[in-house]
Amino acid sequence: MQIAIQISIIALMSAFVYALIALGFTLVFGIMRVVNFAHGEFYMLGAYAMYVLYGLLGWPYGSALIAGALLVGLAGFVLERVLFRRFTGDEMGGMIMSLALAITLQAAISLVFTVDDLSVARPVEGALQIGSVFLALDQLYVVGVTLLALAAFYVLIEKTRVGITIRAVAQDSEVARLQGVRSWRMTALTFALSCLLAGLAGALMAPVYTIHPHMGELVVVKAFIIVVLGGLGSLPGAVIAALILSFTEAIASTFYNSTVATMLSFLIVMAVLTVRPAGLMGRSR
Amino acid sequence: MRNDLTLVRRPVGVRVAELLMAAALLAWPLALGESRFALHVGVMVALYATLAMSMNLMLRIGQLSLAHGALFGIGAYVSAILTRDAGLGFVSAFVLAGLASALIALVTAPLFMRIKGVHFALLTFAFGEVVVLCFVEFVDIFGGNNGFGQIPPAQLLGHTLDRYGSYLLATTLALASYFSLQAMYRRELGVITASLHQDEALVTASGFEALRFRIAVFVLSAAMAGWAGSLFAHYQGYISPDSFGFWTAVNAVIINVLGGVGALAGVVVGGFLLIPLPELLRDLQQYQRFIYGIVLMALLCFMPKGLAGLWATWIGRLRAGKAQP
Amino acid sequence: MSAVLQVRNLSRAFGGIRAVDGVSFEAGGDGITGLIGPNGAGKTTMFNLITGTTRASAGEVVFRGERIERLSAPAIARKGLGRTFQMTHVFPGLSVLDNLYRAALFRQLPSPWSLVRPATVRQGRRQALAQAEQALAMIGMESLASDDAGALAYGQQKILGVGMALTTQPSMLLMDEPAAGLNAVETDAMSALIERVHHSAGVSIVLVEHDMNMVMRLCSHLVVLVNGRLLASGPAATVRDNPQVIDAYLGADLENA
Repeated sequence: MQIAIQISIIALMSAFVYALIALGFTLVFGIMRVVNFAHGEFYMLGAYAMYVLYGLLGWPYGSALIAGALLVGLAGFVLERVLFRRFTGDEMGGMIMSLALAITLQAAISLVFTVDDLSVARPVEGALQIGSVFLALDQLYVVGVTLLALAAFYVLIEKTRVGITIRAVAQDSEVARLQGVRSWRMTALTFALSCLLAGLAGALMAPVYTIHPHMGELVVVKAFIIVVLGGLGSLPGAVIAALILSFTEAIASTFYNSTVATMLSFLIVMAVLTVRPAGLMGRSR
Repeated sequence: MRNDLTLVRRPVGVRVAELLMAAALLAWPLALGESRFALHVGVMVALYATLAMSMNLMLRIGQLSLAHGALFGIGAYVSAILTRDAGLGFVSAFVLAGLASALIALVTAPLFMRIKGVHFALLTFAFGEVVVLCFVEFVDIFGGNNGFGQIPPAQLLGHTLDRYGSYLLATTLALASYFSLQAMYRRELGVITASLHQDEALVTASGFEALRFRIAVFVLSAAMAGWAGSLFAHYQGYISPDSFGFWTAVNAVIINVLGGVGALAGVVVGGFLLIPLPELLRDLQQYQRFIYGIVLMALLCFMPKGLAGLWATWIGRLRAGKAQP
Repeated sequence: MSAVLQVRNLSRAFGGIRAVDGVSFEAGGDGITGLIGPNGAGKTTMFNLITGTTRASAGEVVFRGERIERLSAPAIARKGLGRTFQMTHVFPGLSVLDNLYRAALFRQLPSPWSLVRPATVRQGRRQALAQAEQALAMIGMESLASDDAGALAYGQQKILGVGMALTTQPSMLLMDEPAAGLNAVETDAMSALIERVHHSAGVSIVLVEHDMNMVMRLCSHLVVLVNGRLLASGPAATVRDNPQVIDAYLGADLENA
């Protein structure tokens, strides 16, 4: 029972972090119809930003977190303009460009920081004890911040003018443009937001696991599975799918091994893509 | 000429050039001496160029397959298992390896080929990962993460192939793939793929079975990848799941992007340029990936039609120049 | 009239909407049949159901005594049920003859197996060329044989489209708004072609059309759809005078015609 709860906490933490990453991924796909294979690299950049600001420069944890996320968001803003803008309407081209970007970002980081594992100190030490269950405080921090971020994101998308506009563009870029909405700004903003979320996730996870140039690759695969399962372009779908995946993985890993767990996830993805490409909650478009 | 409206005739000059290149590729080690390094690069170029050509088939019908690394791997493992563990001769194993990949493709194609665009890419990505995970998980058969070693080298007519022999074999496979694909592209295959790309509704309304055609293309493409995989296994003597993942398929796509999907010759040239890079830049290994990525992004931005597009532009300018006195 | 095409209780629903609801009619043989009705009546869906582009939810389609509603679109085309498109579908950059040849080739070599044996391919090419030249003569575009199909006038492209459909040797042709986008002169030429195709080549024709002048000129039988249901079907003269039809559709159109 105790172990079950411990596992559940970790699964929950993973789920929310994956959800954060998946949200950005599905946002970009929903609006720009681009499968951004470089998405994991922005997660990785967030972690390295944390390493530099918090680990090397000694900034306070909170400031480093926010600054790191913003930096990555800014990088996304610039890269969208420079690289992806020309591929509007060209899904394949955008996808291939994202592959090239992924290669370049990984290589660039390896050059600057080497391929060795790095780490940063945890923001808080110790654990909360409830009964006989120990909840690591830093993991709780992660869950807390992610929930805050998810809530803020929800408010942005549903309630603010900017958010609603983003959704309008996602529905029909032509119509939105005709009605005076500048869809170029929207795609740039969306991409930046997506990268910011990924960067935030990376920054949050920097103290939890190790930092290395390939950390994004592992994570983006999860994000992709979640997004397909939840439905490309569906935001609530991404959150629900993140929970499903996380718990399925935790259980499968415990009773079998992680290889089988991953295989299972991919088989589910294949089934979803052939039978119900819209995913659990996605639009059929 | 009116009797054969589907035949695209290539200029005699081009065909002669192709044959000369083929001869040169086969014979240069005899003339220039057998450099160990050059032959190694040559084998890698030949095998990955074949894989890139198999990818070209898929790209021509507008379906980006990220499973081709896995299909390459299926050919490799099947050939390795049949020779090392089942005692089959190399030639039989080689043939069966390609057929194995083709069979996997045949079984999955009726489902997969209904899906197009980005969803197809994602589907094949997932499928490729599942296959590679099988290589990792079923250790008894495939050796798992530790790989599969002690693969007997290729043997033809009782002789074990030496380095030059392996090079000849790999290059022959590549050349055979090149010339047969070119012949097909110049004939009905080219007409059909171009027409499907332009206006599938029209093609279907004329009674053409587009789905069956796509399945056939996938199967042929898989067979090519499988055969290349078999030669890869016997040349290396050792294979591991890393070589058959997502990035292998991506490299094949990148070679096509560099060369230009529309021109097979461009793809081969692209292969010549990209595949030796890791070997040549071994000193600069850290920078190698970085340069690779930057160059790729530049290509995508400034040369979307690849080398073939560039070539076509130059030829066009030359002709325009000649036309004016 | 001997029925080449029989539609029996055909239905198709999209979500909660019944686009076509239990429609039955017959068409073919002597005389051209017109499928008419207001916008949103389900004509396009009916068209797609018959050609196999959309799967029916219920009902049957019988073509020359054979049930075809479960067949794929290319299979139906090969059975002799050809179709034309509302918008022009040609291969630009190729000559008129090349367009016809290609359409014929797809019919002659429809499956991957047929591409494997050289003898089959050679024969396929020969037959395709013969069909293309025949179609070229039928549509009267011999003088334009080498012209770029993409450079043709819209009306001529639509006529080329008819030619391409003819290369598949149909016994019945389903035509989707052949007059759409055409001016008066072009419409006239198209009507003349349709008559020629029906009378000289003996091809049964079903027209989906809004242009009442063309409908009245060409059609000896009419099938009227409103809101996915059959309102009336039968000889044109009878249907035209049917008060329900006039109410629902013709009245308004005759005022505008």
